[in-house]
Amino acid sequence: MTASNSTAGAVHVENVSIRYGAKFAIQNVSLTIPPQAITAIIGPSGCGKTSLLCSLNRLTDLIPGCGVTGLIRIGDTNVLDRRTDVIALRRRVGMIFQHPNLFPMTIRRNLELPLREHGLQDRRGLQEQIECSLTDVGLWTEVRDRLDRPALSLSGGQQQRLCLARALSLQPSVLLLDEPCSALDPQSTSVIEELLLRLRATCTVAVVTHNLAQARRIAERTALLWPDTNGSRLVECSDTQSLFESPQSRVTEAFISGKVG
Amino acid sequence: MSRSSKDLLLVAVLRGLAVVSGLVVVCIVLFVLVEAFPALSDVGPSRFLSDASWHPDESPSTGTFNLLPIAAGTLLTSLLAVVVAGPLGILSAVFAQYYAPARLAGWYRRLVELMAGVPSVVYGLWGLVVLVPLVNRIHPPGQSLLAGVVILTLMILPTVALLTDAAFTGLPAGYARGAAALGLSRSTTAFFVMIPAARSGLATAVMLALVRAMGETMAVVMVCGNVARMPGGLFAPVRTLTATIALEMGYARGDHRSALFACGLVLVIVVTVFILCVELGSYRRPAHGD
Amino acid sequence: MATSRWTGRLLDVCVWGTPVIVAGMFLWLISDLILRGSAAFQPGTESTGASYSLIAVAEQILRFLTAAPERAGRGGGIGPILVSTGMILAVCMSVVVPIGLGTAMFLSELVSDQNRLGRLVRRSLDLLAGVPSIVFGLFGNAVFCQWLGFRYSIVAGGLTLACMVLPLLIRSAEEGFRSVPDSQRHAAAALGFSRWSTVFRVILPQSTPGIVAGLILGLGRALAETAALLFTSGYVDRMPRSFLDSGRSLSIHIYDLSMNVPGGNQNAHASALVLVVLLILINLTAHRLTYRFLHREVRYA
Repeated sequence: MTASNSTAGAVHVENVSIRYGAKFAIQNVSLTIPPQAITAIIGPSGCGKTSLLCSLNRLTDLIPGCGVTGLIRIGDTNVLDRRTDVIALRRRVGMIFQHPNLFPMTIRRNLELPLREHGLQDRRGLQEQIECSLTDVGLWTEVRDRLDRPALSLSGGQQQRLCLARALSLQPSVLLLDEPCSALDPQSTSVIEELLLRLRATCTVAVVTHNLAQARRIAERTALLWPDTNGSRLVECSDTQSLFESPQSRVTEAFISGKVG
Repeated sequence: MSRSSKDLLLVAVLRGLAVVSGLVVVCIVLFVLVEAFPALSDVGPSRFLSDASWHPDESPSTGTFNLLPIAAGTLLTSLLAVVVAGPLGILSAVFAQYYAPARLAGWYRRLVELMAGVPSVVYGLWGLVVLVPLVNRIHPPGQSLLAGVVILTLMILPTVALLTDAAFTGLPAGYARGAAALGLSRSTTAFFVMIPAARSGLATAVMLALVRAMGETMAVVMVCGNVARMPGGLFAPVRTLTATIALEMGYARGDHRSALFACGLVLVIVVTVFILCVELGSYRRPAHGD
Repeated sequence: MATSRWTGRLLDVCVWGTPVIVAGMFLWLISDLILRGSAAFQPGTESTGASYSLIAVAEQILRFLTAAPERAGRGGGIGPILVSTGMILAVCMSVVVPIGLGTAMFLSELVSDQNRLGRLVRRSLDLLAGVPSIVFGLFGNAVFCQWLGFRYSIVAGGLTLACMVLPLLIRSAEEGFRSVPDSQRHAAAALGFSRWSTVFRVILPQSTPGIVAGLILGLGRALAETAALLFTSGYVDRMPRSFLDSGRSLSIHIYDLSMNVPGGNQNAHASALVLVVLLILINLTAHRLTYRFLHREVRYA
């Protein structure tokens, strides 16, 4: 495992279907998430956006009864192959959830734990990495003096940024975000958005969002999922600008103009 | 040790421990069965039902092995106790849930939990020293079916009350709001809305209390008189399966010992059937909110 | 559906009457226990000339807790019996804690609810929880005393109790593990944690208070048990010399004094008082832990 993974890998999704028991969440989705760009995945609620995101780092393994078929490739890793080292994969693919999910420990411990888990043991290295990733998310000056306070005493926006710092400390090449701002106030949202814009220089970023304005603000590319009779399908995936200004499909047009969804 | 081999070890060890836990009950049934086998084959099930009396002995030829009065003792004590403790327990849960002010309900719940935690030998001691002399004043000898039923009632009442209370708590809040919106009185709400809605939880509570009563040993040994004859009324002494085991296991040899294991086997079978019934019941009504 | 006024009244009376009866009976029992039990601690019955003071009472209690029983328990104290009880519980807990925690961890962290092995284990634990305690005694006697050759001994008693409290312990430990929200598991997985680290670094630290509360409740259940020990740990009331020695537990002491020893009632009540006080202390500790556990969750949520 290399210490730095600054070369971002593209994510290829081919013919992926996800089902829970007998019910399909998404059906035959193919798209490419290019490196060094932000791709937004939009669609009405319950259309399987989150499921698609979770399949990219095999978090779907944790959900009983969930099956994923098709081909997912990140860089040169075949994600769905049973022989793939999931732990190494998840180290390279960071994920941020809708609600901040810090461990009920101190701020320092939250950042230390994943670093130690992946082999960084010496105190100086840990301290440097912690400072570095907190600076990245703009938290360093805010929490410098209270690293040993409970992480859950931070505000919601700070917690989400700490989650981001925790994921970034592992220097992932792909970053998945599941509606990262839906539980935050506008100010925290814009802080996070700025951060994402900076991150795309080193990362492949995929953001699930139900906020169309957000997709327009930050994403180079946008993909629209739409529920069909048996699982959602990909309706359109193109440059954000062209998707919003000259949509190819009538569903897209109706969705972005707020007529449906 | 590498990370993945550590994980494999963890999974293997935990799975092993889970299998051990799962096998305990199998081992119990197996061992009780094996130990009961000599009596079942030498004495035979028919003699357990038709012999003149219960005077077991090492060899099947000299002893008599009639289990019927003892089984009747178990059934009678536990059923009567449930008949009394069931309604009382449900009423007591209704009180804590719908009648008492929050403070009082809290104290009352704590009291019932305390009751549930008192060891059976302490109930037995109280029954022996206080209750039995009282019953004796009404009708000698005092150690009797009645004393047993009273003590068992006290012991299983907390089981019914706590489980029923939990079933009420599990009901959707909308029921209470709906009843209040209709202007129903407290008693109507509790008895004609809540109890029917929670009926499967109530049935479970009563069943589990019955299981507990049938398996109870110490208190019953201490207050029931332990005469192995068909129970002849509320004031006559009775003997239960559990009491028989507790009293005779210390000196029993040969087929006598084996016959005691047969008693244990009967208990296990009856209890298992009851528990499976409870589970079936809770599977059949899954989306009931209780 | 509509109840007449009188039916409603009647039901109200029943509902208010029940707790009065129940609480009345129970308070009667408890006050009897306290009065009769504390009679054994009255100074002056044995020591002459001691004035009635708190110190004298404390001395008397201490003597009862440490002295050996005399005249089959009619006199003296319960020192060796407390030691035996402690040893039986130690054996029980040291066996049941690793097995119980491991099983709970397996059921809640490693397998889903649909897993076949998991469901089988759960079902069998449900049955185990319903097995009457006297049957555990039979089983312990057959397996530990005879088959494994431990005779009537503290080890045999402790192992029998371990089988008995196993389902209780597993259930409460599982509840402890399940109280940790799934978001924590997802966070750990998304950061590439191994199962080992997820369980030991993330889940276990968060569920410790709940699990300890469960252990303490299991301890209480084991302490209260009599029937399972009757023919596994034995009756001998002298100080045990090893774990293979026979030892009498507190609950068996109460049973023996009240049933088989004429004139043993006073000490039976005193021992019962000690047992109940111990159990109340145990339950209070467990309650406090659970409370702190829940309180902490609310604060951090």
